[in-house]
Amino acid sequence: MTNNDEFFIGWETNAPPSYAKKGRTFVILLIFIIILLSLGWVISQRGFAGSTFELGKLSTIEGKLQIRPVPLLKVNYQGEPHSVLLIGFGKMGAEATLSDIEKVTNESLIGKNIKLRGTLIFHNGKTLLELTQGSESFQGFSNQSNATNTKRRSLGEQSLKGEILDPKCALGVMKPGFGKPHRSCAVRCLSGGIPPILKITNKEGGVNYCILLGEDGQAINKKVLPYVADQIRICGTLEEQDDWLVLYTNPESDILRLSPFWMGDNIPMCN
Amino acid sequence: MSVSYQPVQWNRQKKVYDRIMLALIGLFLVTFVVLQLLLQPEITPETLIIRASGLLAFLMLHVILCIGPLSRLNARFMPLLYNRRHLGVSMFVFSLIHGLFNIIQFHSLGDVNPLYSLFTANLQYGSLINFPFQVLGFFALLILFLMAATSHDFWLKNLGPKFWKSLHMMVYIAYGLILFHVMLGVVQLEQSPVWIGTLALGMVLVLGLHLAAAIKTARHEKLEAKNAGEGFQEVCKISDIEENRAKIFTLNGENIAVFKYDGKVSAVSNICRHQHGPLGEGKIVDGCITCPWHGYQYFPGNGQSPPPYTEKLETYEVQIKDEKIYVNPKPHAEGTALPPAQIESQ
Repeated sequence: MTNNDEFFIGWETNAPPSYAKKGRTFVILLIFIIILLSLGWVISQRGFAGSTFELGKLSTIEGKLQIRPVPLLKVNYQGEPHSVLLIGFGKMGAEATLSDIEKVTNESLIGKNIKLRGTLIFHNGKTLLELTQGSESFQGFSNQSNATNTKRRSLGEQSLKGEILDPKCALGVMKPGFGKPHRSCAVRCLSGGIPPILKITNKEGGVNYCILLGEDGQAINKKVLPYVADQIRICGTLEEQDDWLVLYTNPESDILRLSPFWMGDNIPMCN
Repeated sequence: MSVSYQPVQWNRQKKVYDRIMLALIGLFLVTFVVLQLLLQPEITPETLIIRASGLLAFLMLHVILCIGPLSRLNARFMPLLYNRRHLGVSMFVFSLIHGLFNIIQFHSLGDVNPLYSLFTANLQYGSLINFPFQVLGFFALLILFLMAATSHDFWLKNLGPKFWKSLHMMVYIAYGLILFHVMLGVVQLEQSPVWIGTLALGMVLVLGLHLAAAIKTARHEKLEAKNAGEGFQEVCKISDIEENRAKIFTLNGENIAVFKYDGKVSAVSNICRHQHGPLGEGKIVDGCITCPWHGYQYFPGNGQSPPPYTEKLETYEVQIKDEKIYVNPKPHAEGTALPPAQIESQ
């Protein structure tokens, strides 16, 4: 630095020309970096599901209320039985809301044809209804009684590989509604009573979902929390109930975390 | 420099700095959001806000961390350093948006308090791969909050430059926490070479620049450090120092800047009372030593800031014999007037 060098003082009106030039070069470089990084970060994301959460839009659906295997409204959709899983507002299950509704109506609603209003969530052929308005979600009894009895088909003992998720996020509310960044949200949802599901992906990329219950059909939400968002193998008795798969399992002995991935599939389980 | 505190002491260069900063922030947000909506329109607004604010804060943190070593390596980058605190506070604002939206999105409306959920939803603290990465982000945000909240000369003065500087050096802890937060969070999900590559590139850039700046400083200190005995010590020839400039020496552990100006030589502490900037890399402007970092000024003869300012430096006795400069490394009390050594005209 020579005596004739320019010297920058921040409180002066202008920066010396050579300093200002360096600053301009740096800003131009930043502009290129910003555009390049934005593009790179956007296009390299793995993408987001085409699922739908009709936030702000309330829909009323009619059907028969069941609480087994999980709270759902069985509706007749184009001549076929379709189960609309019911969930509470936020990260809560539907049981508390249904209980509140029963207190208002002063009678049990199980097995009755009712109208419920809420926010629809749907993806991959599955539908959920969030009881957004609490007990006000109940819109009265329905005259429709075309819902058939549940068709059950045993698929025997099965060992399935997949990820335990909460259906509310996985099927529409969150994008992404799976993987590690979503783990704490899924834990909250399951802890709040939303039934756990297993997302199964086959080699062709086809996706199916399976409701997880205990061997006696009891809720196992708390017991599966340590495995949420991990790749797991789970064993149990698989059953098809209308348009949902249900796996009856013992979470204390029949779930194995597959990470690290090199453990592969040859794991002795389900003896 | 100031005698009273104001939220921001605006001047033209600060305004230019902030306008450019806001324009670049706007450019990132517009580019990212528009590209996202065009190329991946299925994204939810919450995820868009979380990703845009998080990535912007992460990018800004890299710029902030690079400015320091860049200024050490090349003084032409000083204008970037001058108003860095506005960049830091803005980065904290976007970090806060990112953090708040994450807590609302992932932890609220559940069966427990959202903050309790943050620490307990994922209990795999013993696992590296499955470590609860959001907790790392939370602690980084706390550090950034402390820094942003004390990012004002009021706090600098009241906490003392040493403590304040130590507090703000915690940015490196925050950076480490954020690196792991990103690596164990979104990068694990996306698993794209672009995300992993930019993370690695940013880290290499920050570490590389700091290493280069450290090597430059160490070389300089090695050359100029002298373990002298008592009394006056020879430091250099008069001709070694440019007019209105200084050379820096470390004598008996004292960091001393020796200035040549108006046919005189004076020695003062090299450490600016504001943010410990290197005064010896400054210049005599309008008769005052002027700090290269933020323009704080001191008279070379007594180490005092021009009135009404009150900052003072230690001063050192200087002698000239046979064209050589001698400095006594025993410091005089801050603001002590000492006669400068006169340079005899040839």
